[in-house]
Amino acid sequence: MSTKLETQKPDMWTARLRQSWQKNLPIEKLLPDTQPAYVASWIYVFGVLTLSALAVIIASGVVLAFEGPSWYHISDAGRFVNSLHFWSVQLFFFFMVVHLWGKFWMAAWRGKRQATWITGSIAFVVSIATAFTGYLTQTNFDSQWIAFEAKDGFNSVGIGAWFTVTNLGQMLLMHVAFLPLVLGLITVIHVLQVRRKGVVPPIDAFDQTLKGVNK
Amino acid sequence: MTGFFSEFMNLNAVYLKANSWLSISVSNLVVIISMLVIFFIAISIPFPKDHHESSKNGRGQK
Repeated sequence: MSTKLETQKPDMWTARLRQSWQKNLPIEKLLPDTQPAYVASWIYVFGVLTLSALAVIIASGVVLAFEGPSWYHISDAGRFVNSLHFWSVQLFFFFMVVHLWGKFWMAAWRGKRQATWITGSIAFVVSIATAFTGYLTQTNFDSQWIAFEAKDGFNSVGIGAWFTVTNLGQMLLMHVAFLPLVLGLITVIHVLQVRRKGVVPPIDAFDQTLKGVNK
Repeated sequence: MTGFFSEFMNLNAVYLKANSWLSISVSNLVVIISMLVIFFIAISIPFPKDHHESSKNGRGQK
């Protein structure tokens, strides 16, 4: 039977990572069953609404990726899923902007929540890039028009040869592989930061999640 | 797509121009105004409370 000294190796990176995770994000924080009273407000709903819209975007996007343009341009079911993908993106941005306004006006970076604010900001920018490449990969006249309008803008800032909006293959891979991966990763980190630091309280409320740290 | 929506979606966009540099389509303006309306509703309409819980919790303390 091995001793405790033999089984625990605190110098291992796995042990350090485990200890850091247990210290910063214990399971009670990761999966809470209660929230502070101030969360009972409509303005706190928009983060979850944004996540819900993102779930619909991903699900409909997976279907579109499997079936392809010859399906979603032609069949009724394809056009329905294509529209579902498009309109869930519109709702995603609608909810995200209201969420952003709510968090900005309550200074959501208070209480050592800088990482939550920064990851949210990055997610917003990456979302714009993901949506833009989505417009470019509709494979219709609209996407061609957008690409040839946008190329002048990208060329004028010197990145047109590297990020080529008229290259459908590059834009498609950006839209269905690289950018969703980045956005998904940042979103997960953002949500974990919310869990770690707690939901930000209104300006004049006591911070129940951080026991009074409200500045 | 047929009928009203077909005709509506095929209309040219209407742009509002305030001066030489400010130009916005009516549809984009409608979306922005809708977001502002929803934002102000969200911060002013009270959230339905759980009567069982609301007797125990306040709206935060100073």
